[in-house]
Amino acid sequence: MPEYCRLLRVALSAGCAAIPMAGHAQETTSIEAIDVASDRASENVARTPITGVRVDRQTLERRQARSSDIAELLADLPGVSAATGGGFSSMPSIRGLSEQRLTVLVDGFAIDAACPNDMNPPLSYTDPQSISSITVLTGVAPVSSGGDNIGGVISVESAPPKFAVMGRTLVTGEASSFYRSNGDAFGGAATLTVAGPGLSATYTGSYIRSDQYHGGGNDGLVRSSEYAKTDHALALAWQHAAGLLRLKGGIQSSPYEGFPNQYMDMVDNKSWFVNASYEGYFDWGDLELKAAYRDTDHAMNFLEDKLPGAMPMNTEVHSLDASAKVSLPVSMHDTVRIGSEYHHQWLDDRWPPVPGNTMMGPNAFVNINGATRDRIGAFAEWERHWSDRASSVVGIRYDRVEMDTGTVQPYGTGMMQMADVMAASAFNAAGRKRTDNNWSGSALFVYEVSARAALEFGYAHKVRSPNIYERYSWGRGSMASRMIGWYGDGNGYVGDPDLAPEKADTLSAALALGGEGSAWTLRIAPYYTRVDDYIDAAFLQDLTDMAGMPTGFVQLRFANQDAEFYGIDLSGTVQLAKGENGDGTRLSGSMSWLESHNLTDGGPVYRQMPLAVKIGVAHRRDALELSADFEWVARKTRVDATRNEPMTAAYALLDLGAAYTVSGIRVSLDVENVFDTAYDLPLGGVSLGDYKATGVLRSVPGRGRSFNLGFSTRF
Amino acid sequence: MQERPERSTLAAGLQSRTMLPPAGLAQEPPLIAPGPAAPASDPTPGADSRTDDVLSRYVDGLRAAILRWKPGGLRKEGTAIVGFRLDREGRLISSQLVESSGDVQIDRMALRMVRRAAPFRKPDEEIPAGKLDFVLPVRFH
Ligand SMILES: [Cu+2]
Repeated sequence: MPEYCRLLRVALSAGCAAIPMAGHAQETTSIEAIDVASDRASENVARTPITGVRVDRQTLERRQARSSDIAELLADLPGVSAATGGGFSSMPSIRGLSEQRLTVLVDGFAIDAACPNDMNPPLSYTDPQSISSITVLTGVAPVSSGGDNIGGVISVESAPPKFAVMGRTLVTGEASSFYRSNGDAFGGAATLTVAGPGLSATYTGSYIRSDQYHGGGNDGLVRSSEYAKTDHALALAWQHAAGLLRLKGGIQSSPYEGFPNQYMDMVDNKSWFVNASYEGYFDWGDLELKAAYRDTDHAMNFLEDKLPGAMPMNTEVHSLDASAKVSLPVSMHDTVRIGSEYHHQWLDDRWPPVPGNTMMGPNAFVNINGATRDRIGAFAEWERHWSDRASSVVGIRYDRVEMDTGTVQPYGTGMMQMADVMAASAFNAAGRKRTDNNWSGSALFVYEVSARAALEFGYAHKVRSPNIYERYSWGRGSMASRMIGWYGDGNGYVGDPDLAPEKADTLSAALALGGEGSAWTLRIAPYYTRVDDYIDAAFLQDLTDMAGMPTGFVQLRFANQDAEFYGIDLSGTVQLAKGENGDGTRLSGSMSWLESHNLTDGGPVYRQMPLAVKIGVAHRRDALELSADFEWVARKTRVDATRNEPMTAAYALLDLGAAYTVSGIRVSLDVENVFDTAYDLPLGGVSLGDYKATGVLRSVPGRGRSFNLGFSTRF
Repeated sequence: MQERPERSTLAAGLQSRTMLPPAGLAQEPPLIAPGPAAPASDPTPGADSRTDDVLSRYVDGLRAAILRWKPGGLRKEGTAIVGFRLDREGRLISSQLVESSGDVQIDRMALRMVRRAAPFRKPDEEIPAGKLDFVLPVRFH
C-alpha cells in the first residue's frame, strides 16, 4: 500500500484533519471522538450494577394506568414486594426488610414518616405519572447512599432539569390521564418545562382519586380503600460554568385515604417542602450541597366505612435535612468520596378529646410530645477500578442519633383510663433521652468475567436506630396501643425507650449472564442477612372486649430480637423476535424466594412474601404494543404466631394489555386480573374496615378485574 | 484480564500504534494495542507526510491518555467538544469548551479528562509548534 494511502486511512480513521495550510502558523488538529459509555457493570460499581435496577420513564408510563402506588409498581421487581397500606401508601419491602430499614429518597432527600401507622411513607409523596426514574438497590448498598438503615435503597427522581440550545427557548412537557373501572378511579398529571440555555423551570402536577375497590370473585367491596390526593411542585434550575443550582418547592394535599387494615383512616394530609441543591464539577472533583425543609400536618379519623364514631388524631412533623459531599478523582483508577449529613425530625402527636365520650376525654391524649430525632453522619468511601473489568467500592460511616421527647398525658384519670394513667406516669418519670453511636461499613466488588458475564459480591454491616414511635409510644390501654403500628394486623403496640439499634450483616452475590446485544439475559442473586436486635414485638397481654373476652388481637411491646433472612432472586429475558426500532417480541420472567427466621422465638418473621413467579410477554410492532403478564404466588404458610398472622392461599393472576400510539398520543387498555380471581394479599394484613362493618375478620383481598384506560402524550 | 497501565507507563503507551476502530463503534477500543509500532517500511514519500504520520501517532497517544480519565457510570447522553493547546514539553497551556453539550456536568467532565490527563508526553521534534492545538469531542452515552 502506498504510504500516502496508509496515511490518509489513518488520518480519516483517527478523524485527524491536520491538513497543512501553507503560511498558517497555528492550525487545529481534530482528535477522534472519545466514547464514554456508562453501561458496563464495572463502571457502575457504586450503583450495584447487577442487584440494582433502574425503572425508567417509559416503563412507568406503561404501568401508571394500573396503579397510583409506587411501591405496588416496584413489586414487579425481583426481591421487592409491597405491604398494603392505603391506595397510594403501600410500604415497599426489599428482601424481607421494610419500613425505615430501607433508605427511600425522593430527589435525593429522605422524608420522615408523620403518623403512628406510617400512613404517609416517602413514596406516598410521589406519583407514577410524574416521576422520571426509580433506582432500586436490592443488594448491598454503598454507605454513601445513606445511613441509619439496614436494607436496600429506593431512589425516586423527578425529571432532571432540561435546558435549551444556545439562543433558543425550550418548551416541553408531558400530559397523561387514566381511568380504572375497579374503584372508579381516575387521575391526570402534567409536566411543563420552560427553559433557556442557563435557566430552567419545571412545573409538575398530578391528581388521583378512587372509590373503594372490589375484590375478585365473591370478595365484594373492600371497605376503606378509597383515596384522593393532589401534588404540585415547581423546580427551578440554574446552570452556570461549573455547576448546577436547583431549587424546588411543592405541596401535597390528600383530603382522604382509607386504610383497609388499620383502625384509622387518613382524613387529611398536608405537606409542603422546599429544597435546594448545588452540584459543582471542578477539576479537583465534584461538590454536592443539599438542604431541605418539610412540614407535614397529618390528621386521622374515620371515613364512611368505619363510622359511626369519631377519634381525631393529629400528627405534625418538621424535618430539616442538610448534607455536603465531595467526590475526588485522586487518580485515574481511584475516586474518594467523603460526606457529612445532618437530619433533624421534630414530631408531635396529639389526640383531641371527643366531647361526650367518657373514654376519650376530658383532656387531649398526648401521644408524642415534641419528640426530636437528630442524626449527624459522616462517611468515607473509596472506589477503585483495578482494571477494565474489576472494580470495588469500600466505605465506612458513622451516625450519631440523638432522640428525646417531652412528657405525655392520657385522656383523663377515670377508672377506665387506669392503664394509660399508670403508663403515662411511668413514662414521664423515666429518662427519655437516648443517644446511639452507629458504625456501618460496606464493601462491593464487581468483576466482568467476559462481555457476557459479570459477577457482583457485597458485604455490609449496617445499623439503624429505632424510630420515634418504636421508642416513645407509651399507651398501655387497649385502644391507645391499637392506634400504634404499621403492621396491618389489628394488634396493639407499646414502645420501649430502651430499644437498641438494629445491626445487620448482609452478604449478597449476583451473576449476570447475557447482556447488550444478546438474545437472552439471566440474573441470579442470592443473599443472606442476619439482624441482631431486629425490632420485632413481644407479647404483653391478650386484648379483651367489654365483657372481658379475648378479641383475638394482642398487645405487644417493641422488642429487640435476632432474625435472619435469606433467599434468591432470579430474573431473565429471551428475545423471541427482533425487528427495527425496538420492535420485537420479548419473554421475561422472574422468581423471588425468601425465608426468614426470628431466631429469638424460633418462628418466621412477620409479613414475608411467599415464593412468587412472574412471566410476561411483550410484543411491539410500529405503533402497536401488546402484553400478557402472568403471576403465580405460593401459599403463605410461614406466619408469625406472635401477631396471629393469617395464612394466605396460593393464587395465579393474568393481566392483558394493548396500546397504540397515534399522532403522538399513546392510548392503552389493560385488563387486570382477567379472570376476576379472588385472592388474599399475602402482605395485606387483616381487613379491619370490613371487620368493623360486618363483624367478620378476613385478610385484605386483592383487586378483582379492572379495565384500565390510559392516555399520555409528550410535547 | 487486561490491566490498566500505571501512570508511569503513560509514555510507553504512546510509543505503540493504537489501532482505532471505525468511528461510531459503541465498543470502546482497547486502551493500548499489544503489538509494537507498525514499521514504516516504504520509502518516505516526503517530509510533510512523515510529519503527519508522527503527528497522528502522537494524537493517538493523547487520545489514549485522556480516555484513561473517563468517569464511570454518569448515565447521561451528550457530546462536549473540548479544545486545548500544548507546549513543546507536552504541558497544557490552555483548555476550554469549544462546544457545550448543554449539560454542565458532561461539559466539565470532558474538560476534567483533558486537564487531569496532562501533562502529556513531549511532542516529537518533527511536529511543528503550530500544530499543537487540538479539538476533541467527548461523547457520553
Ligand atoms: Cu395516620
